Amino acid sequence: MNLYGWLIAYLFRWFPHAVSTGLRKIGNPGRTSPVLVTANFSLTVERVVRALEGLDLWLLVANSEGINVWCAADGGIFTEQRIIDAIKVSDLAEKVTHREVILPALSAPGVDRDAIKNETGFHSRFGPVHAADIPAYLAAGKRKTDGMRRFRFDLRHRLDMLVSMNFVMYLPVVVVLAVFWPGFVAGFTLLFWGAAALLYLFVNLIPGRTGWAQALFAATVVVLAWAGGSWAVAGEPLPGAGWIGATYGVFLLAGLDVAGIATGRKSDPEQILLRLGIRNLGTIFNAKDHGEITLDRPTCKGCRTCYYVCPTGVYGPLDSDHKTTFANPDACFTCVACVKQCPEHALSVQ
Amino acid sequence: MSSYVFMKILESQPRRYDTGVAWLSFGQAPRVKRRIVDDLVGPGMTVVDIGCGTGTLALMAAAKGARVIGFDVSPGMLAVARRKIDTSDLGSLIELREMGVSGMDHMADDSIDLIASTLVFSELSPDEQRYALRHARRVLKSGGRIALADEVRPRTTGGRLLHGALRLPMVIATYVLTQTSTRAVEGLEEKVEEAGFQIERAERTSFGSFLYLVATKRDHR
Repeated sequence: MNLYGWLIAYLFRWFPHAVSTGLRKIGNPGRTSPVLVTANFSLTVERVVRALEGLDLWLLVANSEGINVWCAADGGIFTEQRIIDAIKVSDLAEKVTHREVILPALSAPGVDRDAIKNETGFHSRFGPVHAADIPAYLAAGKRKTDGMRRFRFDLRHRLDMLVSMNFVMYLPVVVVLAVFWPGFVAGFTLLFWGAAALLYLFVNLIPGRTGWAQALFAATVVVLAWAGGSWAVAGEPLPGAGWIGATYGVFLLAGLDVAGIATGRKSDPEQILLRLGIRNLGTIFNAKDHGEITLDRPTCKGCRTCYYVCPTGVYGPLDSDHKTTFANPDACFTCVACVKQCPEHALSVQ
Repeated sequence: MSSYVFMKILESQPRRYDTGVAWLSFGQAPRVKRRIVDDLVGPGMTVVDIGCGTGTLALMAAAKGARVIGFDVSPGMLAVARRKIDTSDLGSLIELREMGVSGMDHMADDSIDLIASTLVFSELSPDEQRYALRHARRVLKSGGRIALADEVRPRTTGGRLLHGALRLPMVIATYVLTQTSTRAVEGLEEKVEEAGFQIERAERTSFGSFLYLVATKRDHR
């Protein structure tokens, strides 16, 4: 991908960006080299290829319609059918002697591994969540540490999301300002990116249960600091009402889904709509699988598949009855990886 | 989660898909389905719809007395198709399968009269297109036909410019309202011929950007 294509893909990350599917060579793979599967979202492929530099293996890019693995798997687009298609159409069985593919861990919400085996003869296993962990995972004989199983909502992720997810919020406002009120462009730019940086980088330190509460808290702090500063300097206690309103507005815009995007907590806009009883809002929102993951205790055999596939670490050790436990239920945002992968169908969304 | 809201957009997509592609193809997509069924489907025929989506063509063909096997990779689209079929009385004639083109290897040789596929090849990779055509030829009966309709790149520079200029606002409007878009397929006629078909008809409309193609299985390649 050239720099221009990468910039478009990165700054418009809300939107799909497909690259070609099929089997790619990384380094100089042979007939016994491992086969990794990924989705055909440009940024995903670019990151995986970068992480695999120096290794010799096959990368099978399956069709996710240009959407990242996790969203496409949860949205019913990156399914076992896409992987079956990729394996069969690329003649993978002719290219390698083994019969194993390593799937992205975050494809668990959408992929039925038994179907892949039945249809193609290829056994599959889930690799690490982050592409950066793949070399260590392979070096350890395809063994994952708990750290490799979990999505890291760390500073690096938040910095990444800060830029790539907020640009689409910033752009329409700044275009309107540039056309009608060009004098406000610089002020808005400073305020917006300042607010976004404050929210995304310090989200774990700002008090408030929801992302919106945190955004309001942060906006209040900024307004008070502003008022205090302006009082100290000029003896005027408050900035204009317009600027106070704009500050709150900008913080709410930048914090629209900071909880869902930066921390993996439940998404605020979605929660509000659901609480209002709105299941459909025009074309942009449709509530399907919402609710709590529920365990049917008698059916659970204590295999701990849920523990291994959960990317946010919801599940804990087995209890005294040899059943799984919800050690950290607040970390769940219903990606349904556990529901899809439970071999006993003991988990469901209620 | 990079975009939780975005996932919700996707989940609600199938119901708006029909509208989206109808707009993007300047109304050609629904019309060409009608035309394929009117021209090529008869009672008692066995029809395969590659990428049946929400089942529009399958329902039209079944209404003419054909037996239809429709398949699609999208469970969301198939759910909409099932609802449409359940409210008709044609359920016994239509079989839906959740699979991609690679599942065609399960279909028996010389068993199908017509294979139709509208606005699907442009979604497939070149390898998938060749795979689908290879198996289409294998499963068709002698003299069986394939009918494809898809968006293609206009052949002339002028056509490409004009089409691009007309299409851009449609792409944006369609994406905003239905979160659907389409791509153009390249070299479709050549691929169809290479796979062992004799092209009977290849019509380009909408400034050369929409191709309707009917081809017959050649018995000897």
